Amino acid sequence: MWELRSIAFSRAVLAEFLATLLFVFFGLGSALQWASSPPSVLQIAVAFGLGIGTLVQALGHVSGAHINPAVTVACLVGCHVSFLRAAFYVAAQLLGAVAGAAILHEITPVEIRGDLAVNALHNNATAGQAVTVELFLTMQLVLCIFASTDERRSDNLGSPALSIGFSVTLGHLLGIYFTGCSMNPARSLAPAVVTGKFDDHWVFWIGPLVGAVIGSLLYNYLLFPSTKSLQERLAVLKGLEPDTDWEEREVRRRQSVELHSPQSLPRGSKA
Amino acid sequence: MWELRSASFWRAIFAEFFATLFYVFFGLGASLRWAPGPLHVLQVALAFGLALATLVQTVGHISGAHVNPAVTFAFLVGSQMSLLRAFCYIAAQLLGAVAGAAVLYSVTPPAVRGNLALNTLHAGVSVGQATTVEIFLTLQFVLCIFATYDERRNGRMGSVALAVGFSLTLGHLFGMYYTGAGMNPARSFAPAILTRNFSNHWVYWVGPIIGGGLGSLLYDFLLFPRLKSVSERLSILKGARPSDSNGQPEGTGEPVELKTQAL
Repeated sequence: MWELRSIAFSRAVLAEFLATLLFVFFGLGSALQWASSPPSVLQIAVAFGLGIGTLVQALGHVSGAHINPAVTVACLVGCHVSFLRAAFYVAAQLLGAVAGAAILHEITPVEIRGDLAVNALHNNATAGQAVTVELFLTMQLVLCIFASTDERRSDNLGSPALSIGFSVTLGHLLGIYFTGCSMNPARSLAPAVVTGKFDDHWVFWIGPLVGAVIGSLLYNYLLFPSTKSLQERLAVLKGLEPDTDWEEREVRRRQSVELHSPQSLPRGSKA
Repeated sequence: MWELRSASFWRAIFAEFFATLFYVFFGLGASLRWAPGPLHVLQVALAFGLALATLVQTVGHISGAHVNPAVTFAFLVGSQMSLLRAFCYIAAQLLGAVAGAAVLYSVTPPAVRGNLALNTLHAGVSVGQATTVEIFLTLQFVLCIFATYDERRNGRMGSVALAVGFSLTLGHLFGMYYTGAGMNPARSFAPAILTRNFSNHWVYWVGPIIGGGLGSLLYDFLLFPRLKSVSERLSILKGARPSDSNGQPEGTGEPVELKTQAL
């Protein structure tokens, strides 16, 4: 378990905690119903999207900026991160999300808090319909993340942070009407824990996780498959120490123009 | 027909199906009457634009992310893809669009479905006026796509996906008032099939296709012409196999993918 002794690993986990805390704080905050001027759907969607875009830009090079358990699972399915890293990332994301929601809860006036923008079914949508929508919302996000951070691409990637952020905005422009738009189990868990409202909460785990797995399988094994051998994939999942020496890793890191994690593991994706 | 035996060809076809499914699902979904009162034009325009931007980013390097029969037609007119590929792309786009609309229909509560964001002419707009609007909407869109996808440009291009997506947003910001902003025959076709309402449907095919063709001719033959001989163009249209005799395989018959310069 070389990763546990690595400073970069600890920094990455801390980055995930911090990123998810900030994401939930700003995202849920933008969705609160202020009496003077309730936010529009567009406003909320752009706030969530810009939140992700900013955090990907800020922390993408530190941890991959997943900010989302579903995205971490997608990277695991795509053999981009080890089991250990995935577990620590998800734990950090869930803790960070709850911390962000708790802070928001404390600083918001009592009459404004409401249900703290907890995810719930809207417009008479059934649970089945909601799961399907959440699946599609998360699938497109995961596909966009993999495409935007694929180091094998030599064409113009533009700004991965903006593309990913706008993908989140897109999801919210539709998803808010159905479910308040989760796409992210940590985002759903946070207000649920703080307010104690867990109605239909399973929808916001099953939908995003299934969507993320399908998106990962589609991109990594069908649309743009890599040529890694099974042995190489297993090595990544186990978190085996890379064979390349430190100097070579350093050179490779400096040469990379794209967002990537500091250690020479295959890069995690952003969210 | 070497293309039919190529894995990347079928991957590209599937990518077009999949991308158009998503485009219609998200775009039409955001256009439904979720709340009483008028539709938020900016919100819907951004939904369509960001949907396309996300899909260009996601499958642009796999299939070129046309997601639109009018765009595929434009590339065909510009001799940048074979007839076979164009036909398969358009079939995949239409099927994907209908599939996306069907999924949206099934997940949407009956009270909200309405006409499933069917494109219709605004009261008072004649079919001639509507067709002209659709031509202009698609013309600027195709010009933007051709300029952005142009592999001959070497400058710092910024984000291809966002440029294309925002061009679509622009079209919607204007076109939604006149025609509901088709700009894409597949997008217009999908809700028409599901609601069995084809009033003035031809406007949403004729306008975008003429606009797409004009955009292609303007860019490829007038504004920034490609110096290809007739025989070169014909070989691309026939889907001739790229020659391996040269050191580097020529672009002939290659997948129409994003090939813009890296930053």
